[in-house]
Parts: sequence; structure tokens; C-alpha cells
Amino acid sequence: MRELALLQPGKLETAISSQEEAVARRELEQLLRENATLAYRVALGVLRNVAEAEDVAQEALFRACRKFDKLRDGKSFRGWLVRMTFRLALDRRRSARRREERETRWALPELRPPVQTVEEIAASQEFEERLGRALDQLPSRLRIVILLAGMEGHSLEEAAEMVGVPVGTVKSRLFTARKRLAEKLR
Amino acid sequence: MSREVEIAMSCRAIGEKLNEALAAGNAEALDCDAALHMQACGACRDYYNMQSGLYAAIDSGVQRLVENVAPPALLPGVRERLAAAEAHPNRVWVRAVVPSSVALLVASGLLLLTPGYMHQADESRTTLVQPVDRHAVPPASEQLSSAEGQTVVSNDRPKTAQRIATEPERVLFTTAPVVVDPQETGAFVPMANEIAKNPEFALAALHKVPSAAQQAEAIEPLNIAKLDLPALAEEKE
Repeated sequence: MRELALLQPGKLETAISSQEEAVARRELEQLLRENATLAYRVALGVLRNVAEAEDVAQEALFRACRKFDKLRDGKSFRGWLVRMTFRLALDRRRSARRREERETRWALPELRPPVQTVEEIAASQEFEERLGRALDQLPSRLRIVILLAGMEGHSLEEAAEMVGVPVGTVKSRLFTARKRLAEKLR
Repeated sequence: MSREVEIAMSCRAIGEKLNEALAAGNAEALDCDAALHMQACGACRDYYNMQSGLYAAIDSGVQRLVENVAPPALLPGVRERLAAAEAHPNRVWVRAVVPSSVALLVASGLLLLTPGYMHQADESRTTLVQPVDRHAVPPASEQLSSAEGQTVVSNDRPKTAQRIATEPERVLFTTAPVVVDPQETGAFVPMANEIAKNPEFALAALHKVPSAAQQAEAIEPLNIAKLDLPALAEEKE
């Protein structure tokens, strides 16, 4: 009886759609797990604030999930997510600039490599602050490339795919970005 | 060219080459001349070491910046938001629409409060009267036959004789509505009707009459010397 009931047209469609939904949910969950860190890193690279980066990454992931039907392909999902996160982070950064300077920059000190002396700590913090300022001054097209290239495990080809430009363009932008950073930090 | 200047120019060129190679992340690809120069020139070697240290610091700084693990609350937060959005699908839509609607309402409210709109809003308190044209009064038949010929007279503060005299001349369009104070309706309606019947009356009413002072100035003073008076002897003759 149960099998016969399943073969009824309406119920069959329902069963198929619920199966499809389950598959879609699994896919979505997997993409979320794979790309959550990527989104967070991109946001952190721009914002340099843990709480804000988490907010932005969450927003970007949420939006990506809402558009999951259009972005089912893993590569397009990742590229879209990176660009969306970067844009959201830039917007947040611009609005944050208008507010007062936040106290908690460079949180998570435990994640930084241990340094030996007080002088080294001071030098490191000063350099990080200067690097952060220099990164802020880079145009966004250069900034996203240097951030993606800085992430371990991402080749230039992958970065190009995520940004949506040819590999040659990524190389050229990376070169320009590094050169400009060096000029500012010299 | 002296040897020192030559070396200085060469060092500058080598420095630029070094920077380009380091920025490209390919310091080993320096050409043979540059490599030879660096072996010979201590200053360029120091510069190279300094710059390669700087580029390494940039790379490690950027890497430290982005090489962080996502906080454990990130994914549960996203799932929670997704669940909330699925439970209340309208909320997302409302969230997107409400701010723009509020902005639209505020903008329209501001527009309504502007004097132009207030002026139009006062039309509800106005009375339509027959057209009045101050200078170019059309024939009465034309005015009466035209459906758009109704004009409303403004309820601006009453014009004094001085204001009328000093005001620049302008032509009123017969189709333009003019606002009338309700209290003045009783006077305006018969006047407008009269003007519609006799347009000359409007011309006559609007004709500028010089004031008494202006009339006095207009009379030329009597110049006796210029008068052509015959002599008394001639009169006797």
C-alpha cells in the first residue's frame, strides 16, 4: 500500500522535490563549510577587525545562500562570494571611517607568531599598522588581488577565477600592488 | 664623465631593476650586469638586502592578516539567519522595501511642506471666477465659449495702489487658475462677470491714471518772456 501511495502523481512530485531539496541543502552546507573561512579572510583583510569581519562574512554567506540556485557551481559560488564579501567589507570600511577610530584593531594577538623582545613587538605592531594603512590606500582592484594571493593554498589562477579577470591581469596587479606597498613602507 | 658619477647612475639603474624584480617576486631573474654590479658594489648589496627584507615583511604581513581561521560562531550564525529567513520569508522583502518606502514618504512629506505645494493645497479653499486679463482681454464671446476659460484669482495679500503702480507689467493667462480669498468671493464674482460682458471695462479699470502730484509736475511753468504780447502803443493803434 505504501508503495502504491508513493506512485500517486502528487505525492511522487512531493517526494522528488523533497529529495532535491535535501540534495540542495547538502550541497549548500558543503559550500558553506568550504568557503566560510575564505569569506572571513577576505573581510578581515579589508577590515582588520575580527568582529566586523565576522559580520561581513556572515552577511555575504547569507546572501550567497539566498542566491544558491543561481550559484550552484562551486567555482562561480566562490568567485561570487569573494567579490561580494570584498564589496561589503569595503562599504563597511568606508562607513567605519566616518565613525571614530575603533580601539580594537588587530585583535587575536594569540594568532600572531610569537616575538621575542619588546623592541620586536613594538616594531612588529608598528609595521602592521603601517602595512594596514598602506593597504587601505591601495585601489580596490589591487587590494583584493594581494589579499587573495596572500592566502595560502590559492594559486594565481584561482585568484584570477575568483576576481573574474585573466591570470595576466592578476600578475600585473599583484606586481603593482607590491611595488606600491613597498614605496609606502620604505 | 667621471667614474663616480658613472657608478652612481649605474647604482640607480640597478636599484630600479632590483625593485622591479622583487615586486614581481622574481629576484633571481636579475640580469648578468646587475648581478655583477651587486657583487662589486656594497651599497647596492645592502640596498638589495634591505628591499628583499621589506618585500618579505609585506608578504608575511599580508599573509598574517588573512591567514586566520573563521570564528566558530560564523556558520551557526549564517544557518540561524537562513532558518529565520525561511520561517518568515516576507521579512527579507520587508527589510529591503521598508527603508526605501520610508525615504519616499519623508521626501513626499517634505515636498508637500514646500510653499509651492502649500499654495496648491490652498486651492481647496478657492473659488473659481471668470477670466480676468489685465492687458490683453480677449473678446467676451471667446471667453465664455472656452471651457478652460475659468480663472481663479490669487488670494495673495491685497495689492495696494503703490504695489500696482510699481509692479512690472505682466500678462495674465486666461487659463491659469488664480486663488481667491473666500471672503473676497462676493466682490470678485460680480466683477468678473461684468468684465466678461464688457471687456472695455477691464481695460478702463487697469488703465494707469497719473496721480495728482504727477499731474502737477506735468504742467510747465509759465515763461512770460516767451509770451508773444503786443506793445501797449500797438494796442491803442
